Amino acid sequence: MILLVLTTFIVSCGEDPEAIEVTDTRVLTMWDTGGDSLVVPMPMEWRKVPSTQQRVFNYRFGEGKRSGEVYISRARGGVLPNANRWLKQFDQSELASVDELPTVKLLDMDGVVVFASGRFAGAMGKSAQDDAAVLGVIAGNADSLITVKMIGPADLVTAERGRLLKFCENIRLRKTHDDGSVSSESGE
Amino acid sequence: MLLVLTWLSTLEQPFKGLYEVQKRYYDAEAWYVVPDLPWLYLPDFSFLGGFAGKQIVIPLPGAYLVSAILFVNLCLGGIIRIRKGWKNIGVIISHFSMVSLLFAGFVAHKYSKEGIMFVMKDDVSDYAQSYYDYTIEVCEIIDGELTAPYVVPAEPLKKLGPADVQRVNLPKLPFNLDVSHWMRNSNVVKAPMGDDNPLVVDGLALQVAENATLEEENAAGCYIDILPNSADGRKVRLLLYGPAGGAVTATIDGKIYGFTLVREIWPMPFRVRLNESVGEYYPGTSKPSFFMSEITRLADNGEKKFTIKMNEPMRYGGYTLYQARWSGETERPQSGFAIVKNPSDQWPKYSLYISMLGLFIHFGMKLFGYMTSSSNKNRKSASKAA
Repeated sequence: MILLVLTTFIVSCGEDPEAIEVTDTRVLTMWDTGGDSLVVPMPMEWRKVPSTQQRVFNYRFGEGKRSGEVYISRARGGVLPNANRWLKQFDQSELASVDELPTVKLLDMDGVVVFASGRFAGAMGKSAQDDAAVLGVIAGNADSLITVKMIGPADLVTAERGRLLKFCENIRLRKTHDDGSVSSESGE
Repeated sequence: MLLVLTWLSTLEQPFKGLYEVQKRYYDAEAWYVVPDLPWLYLPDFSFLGGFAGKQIVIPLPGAYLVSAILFVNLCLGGIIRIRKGWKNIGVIISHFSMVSLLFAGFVAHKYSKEGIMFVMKDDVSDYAQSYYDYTIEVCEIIDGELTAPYVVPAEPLKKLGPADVQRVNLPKLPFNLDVSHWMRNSNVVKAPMGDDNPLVVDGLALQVAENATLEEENAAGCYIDILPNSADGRKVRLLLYGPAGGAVTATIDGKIYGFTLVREIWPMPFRVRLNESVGEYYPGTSKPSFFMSEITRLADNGEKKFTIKMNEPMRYGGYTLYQARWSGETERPQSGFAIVKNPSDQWPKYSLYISMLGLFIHFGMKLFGYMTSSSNKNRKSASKAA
């Protein structure tokens, strides 16, 4: 009998815990709706990855070394300086003006679309990469900018262009009312 | 024994932290405890041989066990077996008050819940969060908005060891989960993209970190494997890290699902708007000496204004809000309210009133008896003398 008890005890040690079943949900609170003022519908083909201090919304597409990233950031300094900073990362010549660049709606503003390809020199902790591309949208003014930046292998970035521009158009603001309740506004 | 345990746990707290000490000394599962204090180690003298520097092991019963034994002892000896009669009525009442005090402690241990709500001035909040306990939340994300999440409770997660795998069945969703590599405190480190290591997810990996003394500073982390129910579904591994904030996602059967590791969120049946938050620091320190908040409680039955100060909480619907934290360095000060839901919140107070009544009756009867017998003695002496 003692042997049986001991055996049972020894065998049960090291076993994984019993499975649990979860069927109940909790009610939504301001934690779910109040984290950021943006509502960002994402494409099904992307996946959201952990945010960082600089990257409020952070996504990846593709797999392993054949993958790219998309992130939304808040910045300062004006549209032109930021566009030129992105171009410089690809050893492209700086622009004198962004007036000729295509635009897309981003939060009810005309965001300029910036594209460059070639050798990415590396920045913000990312290492250099050949045959890469950047595709992004910058909108706002000198004091307050919002940027949506995609970077990755050139062929993948080109293939994701339509999806990225649609992504930018779908971003909208969340409005908080006096009683703390929220609603979201269309970006248009 | 309770006095000894309280004394030892108080001495151990600066080294181990409040959470760890409460778990070791006061948890229901802590049948025994071995105190671990610097002066309970033998000195590192060579003449002690193999015992040099070793811990002096003094196993003691846990406080929960001792309290349970005391409860049974008081019930049997102090209420059931005690000789019943008018002479003992005060003692019986006092014993009953001690029994009810212990029972209040049991109810609080088993059924109370505690969290913290942070609100900035002019903001509104409707939830509190656990100080320590992490949960995993799973929800569908529709058009960028989270839906009501399924919550994997904290209790089974915090018992997981690094090699354990916890299966979580989600019958209302098209997948189940395996939770693995649970870390009470962790860091996220970068790894090369395309690394074959199964613990590298999208160029990131979790690394176990030494547990902080203050449990609130621990950043839990784990991996989850999403196991789709459909035959052609592919297992997906995600990395969850507590402080990251916001969900990470996976697309299963054409729908986007968010997965979050977060300190347990506790919805409140009311909202709190912080109208004013004032405080003062001890001179030369960043430790608040006084703080006070003026709030408006918003509930279905209307709005009401309250002032919450240190030791002057707000009570509503079984919830008690205490002013616990204050931060005034920025333009918009912030108040932290400790929220407690404890069914036996007022029972200790009532127990003390009952104890006071019992002792008053007992000592009153004793005093009356003494005065009566003294008076009779004096009368007898006087009549004898006469």
